[in-house]
Amino acid sequence: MGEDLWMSLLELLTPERLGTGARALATGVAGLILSRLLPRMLERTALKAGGRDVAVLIKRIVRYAVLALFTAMVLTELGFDLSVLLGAAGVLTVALGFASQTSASNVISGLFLIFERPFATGDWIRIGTTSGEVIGIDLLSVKLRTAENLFVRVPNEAVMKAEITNISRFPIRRLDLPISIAYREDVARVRDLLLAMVDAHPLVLDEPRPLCRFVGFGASGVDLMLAIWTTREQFLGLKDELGGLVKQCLDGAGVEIPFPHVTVYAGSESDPMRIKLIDQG
Amino acid sequence: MAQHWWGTHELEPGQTGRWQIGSGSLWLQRGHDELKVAALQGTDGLAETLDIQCPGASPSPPEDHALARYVVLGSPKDVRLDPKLSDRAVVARPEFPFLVPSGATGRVFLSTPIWVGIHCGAWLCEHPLFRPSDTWFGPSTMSGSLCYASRSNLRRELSSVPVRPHRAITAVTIRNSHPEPLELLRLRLPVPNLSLFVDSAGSFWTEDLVLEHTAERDVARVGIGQGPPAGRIDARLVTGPRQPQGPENAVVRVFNSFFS
Repeated sequence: MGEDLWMSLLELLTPERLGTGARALATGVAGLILSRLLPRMLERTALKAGGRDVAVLIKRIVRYAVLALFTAMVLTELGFDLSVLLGAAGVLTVALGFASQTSASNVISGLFLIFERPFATGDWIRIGTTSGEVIGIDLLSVKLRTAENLFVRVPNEAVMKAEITNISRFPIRRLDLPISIAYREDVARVRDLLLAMVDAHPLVLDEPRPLCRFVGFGASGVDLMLAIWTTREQFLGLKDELGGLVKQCLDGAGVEIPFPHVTVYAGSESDPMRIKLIDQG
Repeated sequence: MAQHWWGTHELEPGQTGRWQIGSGSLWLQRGHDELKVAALQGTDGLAETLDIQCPGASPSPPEDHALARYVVLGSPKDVRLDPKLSDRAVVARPEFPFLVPSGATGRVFLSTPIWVGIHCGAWLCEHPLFRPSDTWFGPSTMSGSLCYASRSNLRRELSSVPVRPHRAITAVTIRNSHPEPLELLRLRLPVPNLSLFVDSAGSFWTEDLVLEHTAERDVARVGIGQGPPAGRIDARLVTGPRQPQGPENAVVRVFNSFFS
């Protein structure tokens, strides 16, 4: 029986079939090699053209296209009729299309994001209530790393529809600090004190000039807004430091920062109402 | 041996030196194979103090000084303090509104703070004696460059420029060939492209600059002179530029409206 099987195998492996198999194998190997070499050759050009994200996308598209092409060549070489496969693929595509509408939308949105470039890998962005560093822009989603070192995946479709704030796009940022001072204080004097204080700070930019704007008459005090500019690298540190410096400056000058309070009058001519605490214990 | 705060100072293992230069301060202590450096950046860029104790300073680093330790290669017997210009461009504003009519030439002077570089067997570090405030210079808040803001204004007379052992003086000639008068609101001095010279009196200078505003372009081109400044031919070169001058460094935009 073993000898019969061996004889059958020898009859099957005719010289023509061996040649066909060898050509198919060579085509397959050539396809595998080319699918690795060609993307690398295109990488430098793609990096110059569109940056890292575009380069990754182009490398993937080229690789899969080369693999698909050489797979079709191997199948043709082995004698398969691709028209039958293409027909079946067409039916499958319709079915997959209905099932993967969201994924297709994400892919299209991803392409738009990569070419529009509202942000790039390494930028710090805010989408809705989520802030984080962009660690990847892929075909289906954007990956963020938050300040708490959490991984957040945002579908590209959601990113395209949302308002995105790119926090690290520009080299300098304005820091606004709301300040409230008591009504009895001299606003001009407080303004001069605050501006002199920030003027002496080396990390506060001389220009654009710091501002101390009057915002309004608040419920408990006069509301001011101290606006200073600094580099994006120093922003967080200065934000943390500025509150303490303002308090120290105002305390040193005897300026009152009021806590929220309400004064109740029964009428303009009447004395304030007396309140007596009764111990019912 | 140094006659000034800068230059070579003998400092053997176990010895300590202190330099009070303006409102900035430097304290160095030699160990057998290390150098302790404590530095304090000043808060007054125009202070006149100059006090050197080397050796013989207090063995403990002064308070409020940032301390660092460096391994020293070989067994050098001295320490060298190199004066250097700032690592960023400096933006200065004129003391009073300054207008150069068409066809006229004006001259202004400016002093900028000096950094001190420390060398002991090898280059170790550098510190600013006075750290100026940051400022932004550019057409908008989206593009431009981070610079230092000069606290000393552009002056028309050299005699009104404060001369300090820790500041370098630059003379800028402004030529307006444009049909319109040139209002100088602020000037960005390309300090990293300048060299540092010292004259026989120990005052620091940079090359002269020429700012030309012509009708052919919207920007004013800054040309850096070659060699010591005019009137200080005896000045000798102390330190070369931090960055070689490139075509983009030679162009300065003069803004008549800023962040409008």
